[in-house]
Amino acid sequence: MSGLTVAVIGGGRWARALAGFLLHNQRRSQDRITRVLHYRPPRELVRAQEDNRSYADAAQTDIPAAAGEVPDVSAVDSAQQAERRQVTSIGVSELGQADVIFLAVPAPSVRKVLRLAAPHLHGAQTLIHAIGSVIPACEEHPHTTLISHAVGEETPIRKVGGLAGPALAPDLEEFAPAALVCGSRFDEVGTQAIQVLSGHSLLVYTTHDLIGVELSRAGSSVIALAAGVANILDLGTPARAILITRGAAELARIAVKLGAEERTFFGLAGVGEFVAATERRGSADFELGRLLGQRVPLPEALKQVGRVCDGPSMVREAHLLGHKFHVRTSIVSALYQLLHGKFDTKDALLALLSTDIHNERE
Amino acid sequence: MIQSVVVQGFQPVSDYPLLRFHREREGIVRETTQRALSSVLAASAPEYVLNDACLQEIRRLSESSAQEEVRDLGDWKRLWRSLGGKSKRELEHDLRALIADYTQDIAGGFNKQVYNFASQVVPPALSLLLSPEKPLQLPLQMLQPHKLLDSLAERLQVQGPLSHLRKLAEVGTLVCVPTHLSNLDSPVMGYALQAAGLPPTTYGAGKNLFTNPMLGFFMRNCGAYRVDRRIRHELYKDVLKTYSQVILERGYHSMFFPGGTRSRSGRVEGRLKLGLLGTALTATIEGFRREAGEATGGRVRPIFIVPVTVNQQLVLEAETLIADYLKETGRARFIIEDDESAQWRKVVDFARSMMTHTGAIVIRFGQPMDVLGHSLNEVGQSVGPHGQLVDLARYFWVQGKPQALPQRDAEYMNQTAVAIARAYRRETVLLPTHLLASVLWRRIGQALPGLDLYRRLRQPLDLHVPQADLLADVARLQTQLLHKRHHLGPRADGTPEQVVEAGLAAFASYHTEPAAIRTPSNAVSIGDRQLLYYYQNRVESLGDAE
Repeated sequence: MSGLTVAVIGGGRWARALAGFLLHNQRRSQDRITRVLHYRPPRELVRAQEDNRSYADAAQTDIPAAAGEVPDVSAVDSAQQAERRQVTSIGVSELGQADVIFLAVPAPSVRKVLRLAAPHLHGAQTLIHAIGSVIPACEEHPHTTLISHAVGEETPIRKVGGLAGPALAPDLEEFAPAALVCGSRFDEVGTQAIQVLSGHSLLVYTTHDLIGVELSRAGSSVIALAAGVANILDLGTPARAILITRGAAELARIAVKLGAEERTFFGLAGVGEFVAATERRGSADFELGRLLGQRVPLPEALKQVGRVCDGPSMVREAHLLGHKFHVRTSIVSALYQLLHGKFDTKDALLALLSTDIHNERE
Repeated sequence: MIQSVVVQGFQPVSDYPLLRFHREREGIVRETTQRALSSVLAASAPEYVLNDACLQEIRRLSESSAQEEVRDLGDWKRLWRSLGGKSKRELEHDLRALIADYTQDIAGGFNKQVYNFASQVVPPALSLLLSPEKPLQLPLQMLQPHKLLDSLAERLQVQGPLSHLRKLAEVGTLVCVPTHLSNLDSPVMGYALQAAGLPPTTYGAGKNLFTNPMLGFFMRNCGAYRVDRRIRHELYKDVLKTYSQVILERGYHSMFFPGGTRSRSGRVEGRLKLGLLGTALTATIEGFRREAGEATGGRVRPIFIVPVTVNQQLVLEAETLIADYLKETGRARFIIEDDESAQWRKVVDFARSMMTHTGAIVIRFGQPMDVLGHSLNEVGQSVGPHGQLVDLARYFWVQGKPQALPQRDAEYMNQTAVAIARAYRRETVLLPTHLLASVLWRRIGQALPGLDLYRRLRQPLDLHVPQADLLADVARLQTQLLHKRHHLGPRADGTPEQVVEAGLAAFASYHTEPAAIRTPSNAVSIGDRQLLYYYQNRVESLGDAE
């Protein structure tokens, strides 16, 4: 095994947590990672409000701009803090030196960032993205696009992977036991992911079902949103369990139509990640769900959360895809109605938890 | 940037790699044998490989009659019985002998005189014989062969970025990958390449086609090599792939039909077979390894993949193919030997019918790509998504050096296959029969709502579509297709009246029972529904995208 040069693209908390974790692994074993590079795209490309605004445009509601980049408060006391300062910050032109690139930027800025980086990338490189979203349809690209497809469309890189699983930024920061699944059609990519990521606190599994990994991770924000609503209404653990398992079944039905394997949704990348994302300290979408459950209007709720929320746009995408493929989507539809203010919270929750069929396999 | 050109008349190339084939043939056979042997032995022990080959061949030959076999049943049985008592060295010797025999059987030939005869004398002669109108002018026409060729060029149109392809043929090796509907596709492609000023290619043709003495003679001497699709064991496939790789490495332009067999349904191929096509990738990697000093051997010129659609107004074997497709699953045949292409009468009827219709066949060359599906600039360099140059060699790097990795390369090939299939849908040219069949098939669907395919084909139905309705349908379909940037061929791009007339005339001119007929009351009634389904599948399959 020869050491790899690893680069992380992204300026948010998740990107920084990844970079810090990689640096830690490099310290432990130089023959696995030679260098860790960190590229922060220009701020105007990746501001959080853009993410929220793009959903607002789609929903045709007017949302005031949310806060900018996430403040780095929670990480101040983390074990990574000292090490993180020593990640080598690089300019975009130096990305060509990396063997493996991790991409962790908000979905709406993925294409812009990739276009900026593309002239410096080449075919020997691997790109693994850690983005929990798909790219919603827009004028230029009329279909929902997977991040991995966007990488193929915008850059010369072919060896693409995606990460999902129960590992949130705080877990990496604190070296708490966690796991990730790397999905890629290429065995090489999985091997590289294991080489650079797996460490004493992080287990890395691999699968060829890249599409399943990408979609289940994107789906976790939907489940987190629903769990947030359930949480504020104090519905308890069984309700959460129902949302996780029935949500997985529902999302899997859509994902299979897009080429994913169903079982991915019932493994670490699916249910595994959903369990972590629906925890009290979980994702931004969980917080958003709690606010929506308190009847805070969506624009105001997004502003209060102040972090990138993939939930609303993923609910919309899942809703549209379910419609397109004639797939029954009770949880997604209920959330969709809720986000559009067409549902009272209580009704929405009843709808969330009542599915009209009784055979679990359907 | 690159304009489509419609070629009129010939601009043949005079220098091309196949001219040196007869000198290199023995070397190619030797190299193929040696390399196939080493790669087989690197993966497995000789007794396993021989055992598998023996058992599969014994089973096949016990069930079907032998025809031009490399070894007959008795030989296989004797070899199989002897395997147990042989030393490793003896086994390797037997394996080498078997591989050598297969290679000799596969290796093609090229004879310039035969090729020139086939390419220069046959087409005008054909057009002369088949010229339906004004037989009295025959003597006059014989004095003006170029006029005959003009008329053939009118029937058989060639489109695409031809000047780009001609340049690429000078700096690299072309691998043409046409869609496949008919046994006539390979001669038609041979004509198209010549008409486009492109070099002739070598290609794999089913061994069954060589049994026809006339066709076999020409094919053997025009660059075709023999593929025996009846042999199913891995050893044969390995030898075949090695042969293909060796000739690509040596710069012989090649042609594969990646659909594997003729499209039974009439659909544009969506799923491609990667076996032989994969040799374009393995040969490319071998070239990079030689450049990097990782392997020895001559320089390998860059390999360029050229998707081609062969679009036919009528398909010679349509009736047999669609009938086979509609048989219950599992009973469909992979190899069909008794179809229309084996009946002279049918071939002549077909050719005559073709010659009466303008633009009866359109061959459209698509944008060339490298083995990973990248676009190419004028000089054959790979170009990335935003026009930047791409270093192809780096895709095969393992720790800074080019290396073959079977899993990675198989996935690369999958992606290239997707790019080719996409090109097929983009470059398909629809002709009047396709449009007419499509609108009539929709009318059948409306007349028999809620029924599955088989009922729509069999349920008694007497459907007459009034001319005005039909014209409106055709106009709507034309608009839809043009909106999605599909190509409409000669007549198909005309007025709806022209489309309907051309379609009906074509249907009436060849098939046993026409797919649609004009009624005395100026309506159009449906005929052979299987054929309607077959021809409309061409249109329908364009919507399968993603």
